[in-house]
Order: sequence, then C-alpha cells, then structure tokens
Amino acid sequence: MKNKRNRGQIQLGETTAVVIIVIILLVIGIVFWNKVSVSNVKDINTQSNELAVIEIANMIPELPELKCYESGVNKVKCLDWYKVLAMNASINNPDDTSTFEFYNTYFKNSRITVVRMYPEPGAGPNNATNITIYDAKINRSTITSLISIPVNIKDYAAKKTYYGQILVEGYYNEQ
Amino acid sequence: MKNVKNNIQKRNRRNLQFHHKGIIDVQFNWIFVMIAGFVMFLFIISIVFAQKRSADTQAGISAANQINTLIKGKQQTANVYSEITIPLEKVNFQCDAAYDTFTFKIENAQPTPLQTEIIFAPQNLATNKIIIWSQAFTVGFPVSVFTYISTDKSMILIYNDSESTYASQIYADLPNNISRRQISDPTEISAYNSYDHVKIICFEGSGCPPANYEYMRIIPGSSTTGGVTAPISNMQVGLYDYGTVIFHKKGSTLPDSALQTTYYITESGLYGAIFSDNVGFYNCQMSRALKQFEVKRSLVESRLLLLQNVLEPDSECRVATNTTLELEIKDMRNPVLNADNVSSLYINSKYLDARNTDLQLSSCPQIY
Repeated sequence: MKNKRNRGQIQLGETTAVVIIVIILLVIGIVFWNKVSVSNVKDINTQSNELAVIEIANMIPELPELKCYESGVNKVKCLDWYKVLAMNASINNPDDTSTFEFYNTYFKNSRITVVRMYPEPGAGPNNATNITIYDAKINRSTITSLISIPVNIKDYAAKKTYYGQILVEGYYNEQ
Repeated sequence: MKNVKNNIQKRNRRNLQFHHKGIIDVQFNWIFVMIAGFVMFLFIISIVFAQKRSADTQAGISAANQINTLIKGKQQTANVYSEITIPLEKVNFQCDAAYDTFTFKIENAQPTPLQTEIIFAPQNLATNKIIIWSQAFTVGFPVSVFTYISTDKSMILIYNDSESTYASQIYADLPNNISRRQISDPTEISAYNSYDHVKIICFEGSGCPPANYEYMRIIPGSSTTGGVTAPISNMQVGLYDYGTVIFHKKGSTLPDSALQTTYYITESGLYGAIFSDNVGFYNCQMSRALKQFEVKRSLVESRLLLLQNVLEPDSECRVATNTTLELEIKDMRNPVLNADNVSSLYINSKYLDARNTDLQLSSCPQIY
C-alpha cells in the first residue's frame, strides 16, 4: 500500500511538472509571437507610410490645378509657375483655411516644396527659387521620408522654362 | 480447513474492495474525458467561427480595397470604363451634405470615407460585378472627375415615344457595357422587372411613362416652377449644356414637386442624375462638387491676380486677364445648385473657353 501511495505521489509530481513546463513554453511562445507580430506591424506601417509619400509625389504633377496646359492639351511632368504661386497663396491664406482643408485630404501629413533649379531666376516678387506650397506642420521630431521628382516649370508671363524638382517630405510617427 | 476458508473469504473481500475502487476510477476517468472533450470541442468550434468571421472580414476589406483603388484611379483619368468582380457583397453609399462626407460600406467591413471623390450610384447595391465609368467635370477650367457606378443588374430605360433626338443622343453616348434600352411603350417596362435597379428616363416633349411608374424627366435648358416649364435663358442650349431634372415618384400626383426637382450642368452632371437613384443623393454629390468648384475657382482667381501684377500695364494680355477676372471668375463665386446658377455657370464657362483661346492666340498667359 505504501509503495502504491509513493508511486501515486511521484505520478502527481510528474503531471504537475509537465503542466508547469507546458504553461511556461506556451507563455514563451506567446511572448515571442507577440514580438514578431509587433515587428511585422511596424514594418507594414513604415512601408505604408513610404508608399503614401510616393503616391503624393506622383499625384502632384498630375493635378490640373498645377499642370501646364497648351492649346487645351496638358504637358507631361510640367508645372505652371503661376499655378504653383496661386496654390501657395491660397493654401497658406490664414483668413481662409478652406483650400488647406481641401488639399489636406490629398497631401495628408506631408510638406511639399517646388524648387526652380536651372536657370536661376533673377530678382523679383515672383522669382523665389523654393516655394513650400503645403506643410502639414507636424512637429519635426517625427520621422520623415523624402521623395523628389524632376519636372519642368513654365513661367508663362516671362515665357521661360525652368528645370526644377518637387520635394515631398512625409511625416510619420515612430511606433 | 477453517483457516483456508477464512483466507479465501478475506482475499475475496479485498478483491471486491479493489474492484469497487476500479469502477469508481473508471467512472471518474470517463467524466474527466467527457468534460475535457467538451471543452476541447468548444475551443475548436470557437476557433472555426473566429476564422470564419476573420475570413469574412478580410474578404470585405479586400473587396473594399479593390473598389477604393479603382475609384481613386478614376479620379486621375476621365472617360474610362472599368469592371471589377468581387465576392457577392452588399455595398452601401452614404452622402451627408451637412457634414460634407461621403462613405461607402461593404457588408462586414468598416465604412470607407471618400473625401474628394464625387460618385453617382444607386445607394444600395447587392452584386458581385461593379461597373465604373468616369467623366471630367469642367466648368471652363477642370473641377473634378465624376465617377458613375452601376452593376450588371442595373438597366437604364430611355423612354422615347416620338423619335426624340435627345433620347437617341443619350443612348449613343452611354458606354456600350452599361445596359440601356430605348422603349416607346409603358408595357415594355415589365420585361425588365428582373433587374435590381431600373432607371427610366424621359424627355420633355417626347412623352413620359404614366404616373404609376418611377421615372426621371429631363428638361434641357429649362426650369420648372409650379408645374410650368420655362426656358432658363434665351440662349439656344443643347442636351449637355444645362437643364432641369425631375425625379418623379411612383404614383405621385405632384410630378413637378419642388422637392423632386433639381438642376444639372454639363454632360457629366446629367449623367450624375441618371446614375443616382434619388434626388437627395444627387443633390448631395453636386453640393460637394460645387464646393470643389469654389476651391478651384479661387485658385484661378489667385493666379489671375498674380499675373496682373507682372503683365505690362495697359497691354492686351493684362486687359484680357483683368476682364476675365472681373466678368467671369468673380461672378462664379460660391454657386449653389439652382436654375439661375446653372445657366450663369454655363454662360460664364463658354466665355472662359472663348477668352482662353483668344489669350492663347495673342501669346498671352492662359486663364487655366
């Protein structure tokens, strides 16, 4: 009888040990799986933010409100400088935020700058080299990605064509 | 002998005790196995249901993403026709003019907001094939791209009992893949009862179905006040310039009720009315479109003001730019959809087109 009781106690101990080990392995598995999932989510988030910036950069030269039109035909990768200036004035108008709010749905958390690079424009009120047409103004500690797209910039008043760039910086929070 | 007997009795008693204990053990084991089995069964069933829910949600999200991508793609290019096949889904479109919001929702998925897209569609669709078509909305300058959504279970019936040229024109101009038929008798309508959405359109002067049918009456270039149709302006206008549309409710004795009367401008606006199944949805989308119009108009105004500052004073270019700004661009400020505005927007857009061509011929910067 005594032997049987001892054997029972040993079996109970073994079962308890197995249960505890299985629980520990399960907990380790869950923790590991969770870390891998979080890492995957971070990667997907970063990728999605970068894609959003590329999407914005591709969209800008296609906007009719910025594009060059000649004889009713739009020109590929060409911005009308006075349309750029007009958009800059309207989006950054502190008295009327409706234009900013409208373009916020397109440009989201980004900063968009149009740069005239060559030839260098001379002095004058509308002759700036860099125009930031849109800035979501999210604090600068956020991570950004930068995309630049080469474009022609036409000044129809001065009848000049410049070589320039559209710079798109996407802001996004580090997870 | 007595001892042997006693020993046998003792052994039998002990065996009986052990046997009883064995029976209780076996019973407990079975109860334990049943409880554990039931718990495991519940667990597996719950996993199966969770997986099914997850698969349904994923299918909904995937279908929503496909539709969303296609709709957003249409915003970049006008006059493009596409079809998309999705698992059988119920799609609901919601437009709220008060909050300027528009969403579409696929069953089992969250509503997807479409903040800038202007879409005309039946409010509820149950389909596995979505047909998408787009047209540019321009009022002189480009404003937006209107997207039209239909299904293979939708039918446009163009009522024409007097050889109307408008009916033939609209029949010819709709894409071939969008189901449409010309009918001349109300008895023909019942042949299309199997379709989920049947839209009957008719034209002023070429007859409409009897009052017990739901239809949309198009009155090109005219307004309707208190049941009296009158021209909006003295200009000779075509079908696609501007006009009035009346969404006639089934059995309504007031076909020209102000609530069901609305207006269209340009070809894309008329198609908007044709693809919408009620006046509220059409007006909501047009209200959103006119808000976009105001943003684009203000950009044109801003650009012309900047150009004025750099053009030579009294030069032909500056005078033409100034005239356009004062007479057309400023006159088009903050329009709402009404009879007066659709005609004045149309007239101004024609002037803008003409002035734009003149400016180009004079080697001046164009308006847009």
